[in-house]
Amino acid sequence: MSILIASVLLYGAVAVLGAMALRRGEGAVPEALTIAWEQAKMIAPRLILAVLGAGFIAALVPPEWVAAFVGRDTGFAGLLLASLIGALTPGGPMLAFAVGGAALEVGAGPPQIMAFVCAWLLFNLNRTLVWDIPIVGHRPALQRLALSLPLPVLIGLLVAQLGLA
Amino acid sequence: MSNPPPARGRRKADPGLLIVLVVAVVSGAFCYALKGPEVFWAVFGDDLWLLLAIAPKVLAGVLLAGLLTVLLPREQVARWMGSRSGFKGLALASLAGALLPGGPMMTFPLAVALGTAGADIGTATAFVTGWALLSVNRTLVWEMSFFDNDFVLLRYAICLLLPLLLGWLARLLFGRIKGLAEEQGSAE
Repeated sequence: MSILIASVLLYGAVAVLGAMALRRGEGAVPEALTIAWEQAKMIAPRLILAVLGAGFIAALVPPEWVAAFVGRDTGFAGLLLASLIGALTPGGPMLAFAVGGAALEVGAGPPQIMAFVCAWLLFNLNRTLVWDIPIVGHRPALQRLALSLPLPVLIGLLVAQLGLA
Repeated sequence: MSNPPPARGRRKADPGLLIVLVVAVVSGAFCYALKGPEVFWAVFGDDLWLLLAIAPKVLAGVLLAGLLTVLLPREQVARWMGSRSGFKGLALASLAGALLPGGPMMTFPLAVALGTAGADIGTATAFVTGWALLSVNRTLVWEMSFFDNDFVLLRYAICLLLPLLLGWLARLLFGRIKGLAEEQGSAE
């Protein structure tokens, strides 16, 4: 279901933007296709390896461990640990989301996984060290990091409080 | 000031590939050794099905990324946004961060370009945070592939205003640094 709705949204957007590019002319469509092909070549091997890796990890880690460390009942400590794991998770979005989705299936709490995802999105260490700090400079990067730091746990607490998910 | 030109990004991305390769091979080997071939092949089969299910979305995602890149030239967006200020600047920066496709190799140089175009730390923070939390491309292609709709929508709703909030806080707390341009010296 999720995949169906997202696909409709996605291809709707592709159709609209594609029509805009067609109307613009000036080789806009071939250029867009070239960029898309370059991206696809970069993404494909990563996606395949990330999905395989996350699947194997999910099969290896005992579910009772997942429940004990980042289960629904682990509260604040679990949120903190999940955020830390998120910050330390390397690889692209495919690996982080694949791991998070797999963890949910084997007993992790939704608030904890929400914290994990937000921590990864906001300040995963790999991206911060390889891209953020070298390109924008350490001061703005660290300022943003400081402001972002409490968010994953706060978001997790909110989700737990609301009883959502 | 080791400021690598964006063109070198491709080579820098390779550690990412190496990481997922190592993770897949090591976890696969452990799975085979500890759980036996049956579990290994069962997981392998499930993963192939998942990949097949995801493939059409990835295709749409890369098409979207290509089209957006052509339709919204980055330099133009940066110049246009850099000159806006106030709340409007923060809102536009968050929106641009959410809409402009691309990985860190494209987003962080654009944040620097924003600063060069006159944006302050608040605008740059809203832009990067908008990209990090709300990237439409990433959410549609990756996040919705691995989480169900309710989870994704809840996360997106909670995060929706955070880029604005962080940008505003950054402006409030660190605003005396006028622009990333100054931080970077005379970086081009």
